[in-house]
Amino acid sequence: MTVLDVKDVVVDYKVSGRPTVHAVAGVSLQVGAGEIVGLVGESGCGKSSLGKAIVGLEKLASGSVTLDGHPVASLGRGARPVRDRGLQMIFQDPYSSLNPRRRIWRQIADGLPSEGDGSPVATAGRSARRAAVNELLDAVGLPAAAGDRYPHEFSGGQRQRIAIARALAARPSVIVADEPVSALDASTRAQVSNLIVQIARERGMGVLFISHDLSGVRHMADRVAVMYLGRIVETSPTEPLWSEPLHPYSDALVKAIPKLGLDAAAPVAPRGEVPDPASPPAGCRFHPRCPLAFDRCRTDDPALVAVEGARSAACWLQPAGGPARELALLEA
Amino acid sequence: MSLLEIDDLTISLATTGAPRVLVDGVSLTVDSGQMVGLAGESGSGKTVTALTALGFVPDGATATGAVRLDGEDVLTMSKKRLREVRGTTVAMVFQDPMTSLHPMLSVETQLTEQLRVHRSLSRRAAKARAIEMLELVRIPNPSKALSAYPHHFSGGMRQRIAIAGALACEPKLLIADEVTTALDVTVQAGILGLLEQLRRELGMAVVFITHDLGVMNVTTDELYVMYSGRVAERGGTRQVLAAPRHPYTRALVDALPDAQNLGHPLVAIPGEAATPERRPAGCAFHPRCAFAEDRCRTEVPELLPIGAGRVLACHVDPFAPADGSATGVLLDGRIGS
Repeated sequence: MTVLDVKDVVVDYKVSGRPTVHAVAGVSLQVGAGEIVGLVGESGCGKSSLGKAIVGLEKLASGSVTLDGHPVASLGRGARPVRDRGLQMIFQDPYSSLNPRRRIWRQIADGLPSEGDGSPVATAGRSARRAAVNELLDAVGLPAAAGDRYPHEFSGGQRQRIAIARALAARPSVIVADEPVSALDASTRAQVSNLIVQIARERGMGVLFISHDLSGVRHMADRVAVMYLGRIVETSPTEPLWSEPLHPYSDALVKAIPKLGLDAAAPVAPRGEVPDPASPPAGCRFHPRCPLAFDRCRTDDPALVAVEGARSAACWLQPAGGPARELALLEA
Repeated sequence: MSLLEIDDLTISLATTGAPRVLVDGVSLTVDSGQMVGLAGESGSGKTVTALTALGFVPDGATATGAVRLDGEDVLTMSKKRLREVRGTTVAMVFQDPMTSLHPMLSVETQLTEQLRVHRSLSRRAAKARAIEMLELVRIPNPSKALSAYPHHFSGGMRQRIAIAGALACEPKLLIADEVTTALDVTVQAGILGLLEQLRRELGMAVVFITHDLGVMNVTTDELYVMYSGRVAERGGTRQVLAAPRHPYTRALVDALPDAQNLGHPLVAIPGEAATPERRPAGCAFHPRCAFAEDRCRTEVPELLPIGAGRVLACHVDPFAPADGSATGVLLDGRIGS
């Protein structure tokens, strides 16, 4: 069941005297209940802009975001409408997303539905709210006593747990997590990654997991969307994306990952650099770096079309509705 | 004689309480053209150890032991000689290229200054050499890049410029501290390829510091796994990572999302990493170790050879092969992943 539906979203950055940058240039994606969707791509591809636009932190130039069938409003100066609170976000830096001067439990309690909001499931009264916070702390593996402390008393991994507890307080149906484990040590990263998976499964909560760490995404996500220069170029159930990528850009990403193993191959860098997003190449945006590009790629922009196996690709080599074509065979 | 010989290096900070030991009896050698990796969590002493190759010791700390670079002890070197050695014999690149690049000086100024000072080159010759370096690190249009400033470049290109700067005087040894950690995998692959090429073409040695074991596996020849200022395990990189003998190395590998542990939750290392302020007695890893025995809590394990050029500091050695033939039990299915 789709809970988050993103349709044709465009996010523009305008600077006077410079061309408009379409950081997100028409993206559609869905997240189901209890589903973890990974969003990967290089820095500057627009994945963070898309994440912010979904929760209303960036204005949509066009397109729509709906949560449980209701359109999500852009955040203005006022309080967020109660209906939109089912959509929460976790950021990369747990140091800047918590207020250093307030006790942990009060910051988590901010997210609890209250009578003032007119919420039907309000938690009223200090002791009831404190009890609700204790439950949330327990859910993220922290003791109730942690609630009386301040953010600086915690390690990075613990702070990220606190940020997760605060997001959970609003009983979200979807969490957008932008690089939530990238700032953490390897071991702590494993703990917080496991926690996010466990919470999504237990609560039937959807997660849009934005990350540049492909191996981490492979471990957590049910489905993956690959983004390049403001567009989604491939979506796929997680495993086939690694074993048999359909888009040459996905293929380039997978080949660049350094792996363990006695006979692991050296990582391969794709040729060229990511072009300036203010003036993306004509045709397929990846064609100047694509080893398989042909004439049509230089002039016609391929749309993201469904291919067999619940996958989709935006590549002229992968015809709509057709069987997935193996890139390795095409290269040969 | 090896290019870099660190011999029983101990670095400690005197404090009002007990001295804080940052590095505890580390020995390490790097040969010309060799890539040596230092792995471990933050606070393991890997950067402090590597920085001694440039004669850097943290403020207020005392170092004992010897650090010989090309036969000369850098710990007892005069300031004048240190200035000569830095940049010409040994150079360093950091995680954030803006640590080494000055934001308000042009690329030309930053690349040519050292050539004019260390190599006494004329302005014209230094510029020509700078262009050569930028070509080497594959910066497009090098002569135009010289007049640009760091903010004109992407993170990956800045890192390549920082590497060009470090290599301009052809050092015999490069200390690369988390140089690809902040970069995308695609850009990282380019930088790793570049280091490999420089090693091959210039015979340059590299001390490579990273917590990314996948990067370590495809980059380095020899691996030192450090924990709390000590070497826990050492050996050929791929052998150590494919068949770890120390419980800490094993835990690091198990915490890593990799093809072979898909479908299982990642195994996090329990507890928090030891720090110089709070270092457990005995084997510093014992409070987090599933195999710890009584003597692990009191006795520091010695680094002892276990065959095939590997050494290990563990009383228990739980991953020793039953038949005693090989040097470790290969992790299931990890081969050829």
